[in-house]
Amino acid sequence: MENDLVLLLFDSIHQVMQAEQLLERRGLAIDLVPVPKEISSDCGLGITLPAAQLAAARAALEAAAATLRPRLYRRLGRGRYQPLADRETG
Amino acid sequence: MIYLDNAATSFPKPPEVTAAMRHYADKIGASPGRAGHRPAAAASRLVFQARERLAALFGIADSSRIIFTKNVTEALNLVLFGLLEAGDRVLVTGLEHNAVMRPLRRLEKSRGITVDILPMTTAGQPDPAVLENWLTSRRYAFAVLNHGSNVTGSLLDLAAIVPRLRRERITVVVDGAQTAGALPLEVEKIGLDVFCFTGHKSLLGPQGTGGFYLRPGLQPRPLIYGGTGSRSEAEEQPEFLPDYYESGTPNTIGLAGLAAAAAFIERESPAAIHQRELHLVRRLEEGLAAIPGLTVHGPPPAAGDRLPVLSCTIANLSPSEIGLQLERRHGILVRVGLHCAPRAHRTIGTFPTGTVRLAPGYFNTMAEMETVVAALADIAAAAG
Ligand SMILES: Cc1ncc(COP(=O)(O)O)c(C=O)c1O
Repeated sequence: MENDLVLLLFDSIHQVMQAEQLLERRGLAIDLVPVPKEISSDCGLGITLPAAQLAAARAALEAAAATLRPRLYRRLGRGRYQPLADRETG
Repeated sequence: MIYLDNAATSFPKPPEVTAAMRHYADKIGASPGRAGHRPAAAASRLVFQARERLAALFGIADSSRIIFTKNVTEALNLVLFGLLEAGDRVLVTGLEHNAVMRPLRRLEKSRGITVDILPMTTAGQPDPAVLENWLTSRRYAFAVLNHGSNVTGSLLDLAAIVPRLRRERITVVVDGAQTAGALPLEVEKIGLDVFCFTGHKSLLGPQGTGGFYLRPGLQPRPLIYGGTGSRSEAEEQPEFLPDYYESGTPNTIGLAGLAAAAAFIERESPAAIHQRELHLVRRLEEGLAAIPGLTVHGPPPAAGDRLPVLSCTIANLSPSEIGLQLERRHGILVRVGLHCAPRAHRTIGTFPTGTVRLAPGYFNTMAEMETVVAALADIAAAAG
């Protein structure tokens, strides 16, 4: 479980940048990654972070702006993602 | 050479502006918001930082409500063509630039809007009796207000007029071409619906940058449609900000410069910048008042807050002749004529010949102001 990664996808590049700034300031272990083509052809970048930090990340995003509601995916392996069910998103 | 044409475009720029542009060109280069590689992320960060810094500078909470355009003219066009409808009545000051007047004249013809132009006091404020009379007898949908005159340097007292307009539920659009970066601003606190700015004047950024702030709830139609990097699977324009209005690859190199410029202004502080520039223009006011045959057009000397923009004429000499002598004999660069603002010149009584405009900037010195006063005294003496 410790190595579990979650992928956060946003509507716009502006939101990605906003989220990156917010989460970095919280000291969360985030990484900016190319959006896997399997999921979307959108603005190109998503954010990954350890699943264990997801609750903290979501709290930080929601506190900053109601519009910062990413779509969430669990990384299953190379190029394989699965949408997180609501009850898993804390 | 003494550059006194900062109201047209500021020069020089802070060294970090050019450095940021060079860094982008040499080390980043990629398109923002369009790819997943690291240079694309770096480019996206630059554009984001430009928005964040301007939001901080203008007193705006959510930086996604700042939309970039290539200058204030494009921003004003987007807002006016995107919001005004047939039958709308629009209130403007008597000091508007053609960036406002030409779109409005076009909309009079194409959509049947009506434009009422306020008479102004010599201090550059709307005649209070006329304003009150019009507000009570007519129904306005919009007010488009030049915050700072590019002809006289007068500042519109937004804190006084905006609450009055908002009480009538008038949507207030402000042309901040001359004021953005020149003084402390609180766009949301004042209650503006739209604030338009240009990057290359007092914001000290490069040409080809500008934009506007849009208050929550307002949604003009875009001027252009196309790729935004977001919702790429859809053939309809995404409606979230800023993407709704920013189709096509942006001026990333310019925005890199603009972000650096905004950081410079924040560091120096807009209040300190304003004080310094006020100091320079006060010296011009004082020096020019003592020159026989020379007339200053605009707010009377030492009469309250103003911008470092000053218009004058000399009896028996055309503005273009004065401009030529200033450059050829004294190495002083000014702008003469109508300054793209025939309406403002009609209001102050200098249409159609115009004036000589002296516009010092942050990097001018007091010694240069002395040189300018002496040069104009010289030219006026020879003409008289
Ligand atoms: C008051 C005012 N509005 C609009 C403009 C147009 O600015 P830009 O050419 O950057 O669009 C200017 C400057 O020329 C100006 O002084």
